[in-house]
Amino acid sequence: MILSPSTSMEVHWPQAEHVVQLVIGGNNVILPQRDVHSIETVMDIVSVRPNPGSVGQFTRGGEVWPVYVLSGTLRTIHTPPDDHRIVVLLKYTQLPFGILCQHIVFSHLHEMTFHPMPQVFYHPRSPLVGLVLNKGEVYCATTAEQLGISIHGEKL
Amino acid sequence: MIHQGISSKKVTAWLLPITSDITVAVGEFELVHVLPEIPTLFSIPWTPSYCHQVLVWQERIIPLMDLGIRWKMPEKKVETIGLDSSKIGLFIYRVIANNSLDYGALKLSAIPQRCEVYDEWGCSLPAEWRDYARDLHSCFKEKSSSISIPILQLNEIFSVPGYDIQTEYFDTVFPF
Repeated sequence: MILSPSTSMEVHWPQAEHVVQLVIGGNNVILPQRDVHSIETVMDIVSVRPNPGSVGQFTRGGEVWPVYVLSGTLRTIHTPPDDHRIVVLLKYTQLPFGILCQHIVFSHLHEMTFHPMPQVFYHPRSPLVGLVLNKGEVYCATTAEQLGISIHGEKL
Repeated sequence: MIHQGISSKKVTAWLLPITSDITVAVGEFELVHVLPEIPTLFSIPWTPSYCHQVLVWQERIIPLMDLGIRWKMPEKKVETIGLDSSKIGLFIYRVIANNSLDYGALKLSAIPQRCEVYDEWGCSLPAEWRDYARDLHSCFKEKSSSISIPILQLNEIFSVPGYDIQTEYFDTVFPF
């Protein structure tokens, strides 16, 4: 059965949102700022792997955050690049997690234009919810939830 | 090409060279613009290998497709166009789901040629094109030519890739 699941494209981006720009594997990824729990350093990661695909975990106040490394294609990889020194802990209700990134910039969406994902880019496990145009540059837009579904979906 | 018929209907079309061997056609008003030079292209993760980049044109983000890769043409025809020698055509089409207009870009191996197509040039789709029938409106053959030229169905080409929910298999090519 071949389906064209066009309704799955209708993921909404939070309006008038403060955003964070993460540089991951050379790629710019935009997330709503409210999806970020905290920013930490790679030095605090313990090399215990609570989840398959994670490179370690971050522990605070009894909570455990598995930490993942993503490539520029937003796929999990097992070896952290040397220049990925920042850990961003994200609020994902199913399983809070962290990802490593090269840089992080706080910004506001009004400085950018959000564009829905072109239909031809649909993939059921893509973490992307749209594209953002910022001064002639194209960034990928996601949310903690979509990123979490994509990362954990890869392990299924 | 001189057509002798008096009463036959004709329409204007654009012939699009996809590779040196493959030419397809679109309607006169579907081709919006041919970019004079290759713009900055941005790669987008989790996208099909035949359409994994976008370009920015007039504040729009437009997906760029390589039909040679999409159609997995026989070896001699799969000569992926090097960006240094290719052109990029921008097209407009109507989205079936919501009747809105949208844009898509195609890699071309040369500048499109304008032509007139007569009703009686219509022909059946050659066997080599049958696998790609979903992407095509119909086909025509110029009177003095033996080459059939398929007409693109742009709204289908730029729509959501077909996905088999039973096997989780995409009928498209992903680069992973």
